[in-house]
Formats: sequence, C-alpha cells, structure tokens
Amino acid sequence: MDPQIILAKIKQYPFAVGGAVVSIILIILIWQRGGISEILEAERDEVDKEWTIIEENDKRAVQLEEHVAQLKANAAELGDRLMSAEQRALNYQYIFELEAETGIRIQSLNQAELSKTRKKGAPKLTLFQPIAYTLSARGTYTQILDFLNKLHRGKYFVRVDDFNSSSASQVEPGLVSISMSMDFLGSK
Amino acid sequence: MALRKAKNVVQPNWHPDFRNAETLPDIKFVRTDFLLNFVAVFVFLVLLFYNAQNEYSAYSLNGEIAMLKDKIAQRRSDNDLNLKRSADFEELAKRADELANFVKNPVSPPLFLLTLANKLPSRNILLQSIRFQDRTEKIARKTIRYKGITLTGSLIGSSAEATQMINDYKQTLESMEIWKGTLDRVELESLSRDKMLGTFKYTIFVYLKKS
Repeated sequence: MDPQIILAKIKQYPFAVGGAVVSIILIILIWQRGGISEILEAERDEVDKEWTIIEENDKRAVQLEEHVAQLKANAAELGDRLMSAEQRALNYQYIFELEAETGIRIQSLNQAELSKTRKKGAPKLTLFQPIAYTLSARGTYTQILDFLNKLHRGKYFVRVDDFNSSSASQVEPGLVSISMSMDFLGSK
Repeated sequence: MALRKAKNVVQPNWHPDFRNAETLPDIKFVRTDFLLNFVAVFVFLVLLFYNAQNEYSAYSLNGEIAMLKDKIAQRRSDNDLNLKRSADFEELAKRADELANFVKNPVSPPLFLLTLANKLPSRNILLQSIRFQDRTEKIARKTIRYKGITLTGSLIGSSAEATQMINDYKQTLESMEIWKGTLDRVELESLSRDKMLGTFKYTIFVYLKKS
C-alpha cells in the first residue's frame, strides 16, 4: 500500500487509528496479565488460610503454657508412681507393708511374667505396661476393706481385674478370705 | 417448432467509462465515516477500563498478601512456640488419658464392699462370697462382655420369706448410690433349698455397664 495513502487515512481518522493502536497494546497487556488476579487470589487465599490457622492456634493456646506446666509436673509425679517389673523385691515389700499396716495375712503373692498379649477386657496400654499380680489373703472384713482401700489409694496405680471374697472357714469364724488378680501400672 | 424466449445477450459497454472517481464530488447523503472514530475510541475505553480494573485488583491483592505475610512473620515465633506446646500437651495428655483409662473401673471394690456391708436387709440373709469378674453373653450372635459381681449366700426362713427377702435384697442392690449410672441390671440367678441345713442358697449377678 502506498505510504501516502496510509498517511492520508491516518490524517483522515486520527482517533480511530490511535484508538486501534492503543487497543492492540491493551489487548496484548490483557492477554499477558489477564490471569494475574486469579493467581494472586489463590496466593491470597493460601496466605489467609495460614493466617487463620495462626489465629486459631493463638485462641486455643490460651493458658496452654500453664496446662503444659501442670501436665509436666503431673508426669514427673506419675513417673515416681510407676512400678518397675524388674524391682520385684521392692514391689513385694510394698504389698507386705500394706499387709503389716492393715493386719491381713497374705497367703500367696505372685508377680506374673510380663506378657505381650493383652488380657481380655483390659485397657490398651501403649505408653505403660501392666504388671500383673495374684494375691490371696485372710483377714476380718474390716481389715480386708482397709487393705483394699490402702491399695487403691497407695503409691502405685492399681486395677483389680478379678476379686473373690468368701467366708474363710468354719474354723475361723469372722475371717474372710480373698483372692484377687490385679495389674499395677508399670513403666515401659 | 415451439416458441422460445430469446436468451439475454450481455453486451459489453458500448462506450468506455471515463469517470475519475477521485475527482468526482461526494454525493453520499448521510455521512457515517466519522463513526469509525467513536467505535475505535469506545473499544479503547472498554479495554482500558477492563485493564485498569484488572491491574487495580492485582494491586489490591498484592497489598493484602503483603499485609498478611507481614502479620504472619510477626507472629511466626509465637505460633511455633504454641505448636511446640501443643505437641507437648498432646504427648502428656496421652499419658494422662492412658492412666485414667487404666484406673477406670465401673465400681471400686473397697467402696462396694463397704456399701454392701451396711446394706444387708435382714439378719436372716447371709453373704458368703463376692466375686468381681467379667462375663460374656451372646445375644443374637453378638458377644457382649460385662463386668459384674457375683454374690452368693444363704437365707434362713420359709420359702415365702426367702423369696421376699431376696427380692428386697435385689431392690436394695439396684438402688445403691455407688453405681452412678454404671449399673446395667441385677439378676437373681438361682435360689435353691439346702435340705441338709434347711436354708436357701442364692446367687445374684450384678451386671455393670461396659466402661
């Protein structure tokens, strides 16, 4: 095309030509940056999510420091109250001390070997291990009650799984014999 | 011979066209060329508006992102500390939960024995043995495990008195306060006459709910 004619057309339609040129530039810009808002929105949502989590964490952390400190103190105390399966002599001594305190007569006391299988109905332990004991004893009803009470409120945590109490015999009226199996909470 | 319409014969111009279109006057009655300018400007404005809106939106989103990132950066260390505490809490709470689960019992044996000692409804009813034990029951092919207490003993009296006494005893057991919702039911399992001693022997089973 003759440049003269082009120039004449530009002179004839200056706004149209100018508008068309700038429009082409704008179309290129839109094509280049058209999706930027979606990308930024996605990034904003991501950052916003992170911020919401931080705020939620902050709300949930009210008094968390105190609670953790309390739990740590409890855990330290709990550590002292866990029975050790290896310390059999000390474990027996603990139960015999209860015998002396309450006046019952222990007839048999046995710490079972550690078992990897869980007893039926026993709670699942993953951080501790149960140390199983069987015990049979005699005493008056009051002495037996006292023994059980002290056992439950004693140093070690105990769970009585099976308990059998019956009148001792005709020869010893007033005496009650008990046999029980129990688990002490032990350290792993 | 049928009559036929004669074919149109196109003749070439019979004289040359000497018109010089460029020099001829413009005889267009309604002028529309100027509209081109408006159309171009309108398209330009639409595109400009769209682009400006897009850029403004990007600018504002960038501002929001920067502000949020700044806030996150300020709270990062606090959040990390919270997360560490939370992890510690979870670990310690797991130990506490396991301990609570270990010592949880539907009813404590010493408390039960103490309560039971004061609850015998009559001097003619004797308690001979108490046994805490688990029991399973099959209901519609489903095995249900109960914790429970078996009470065995004897009764002195006539059959009418014995049934009255055992019924009272059952009701007494059912109404004991120590259950605190852990009682499922109390069942009289057997009541039989001991001919030698002239007494009745009974067995009661207390079904406790699974804790």
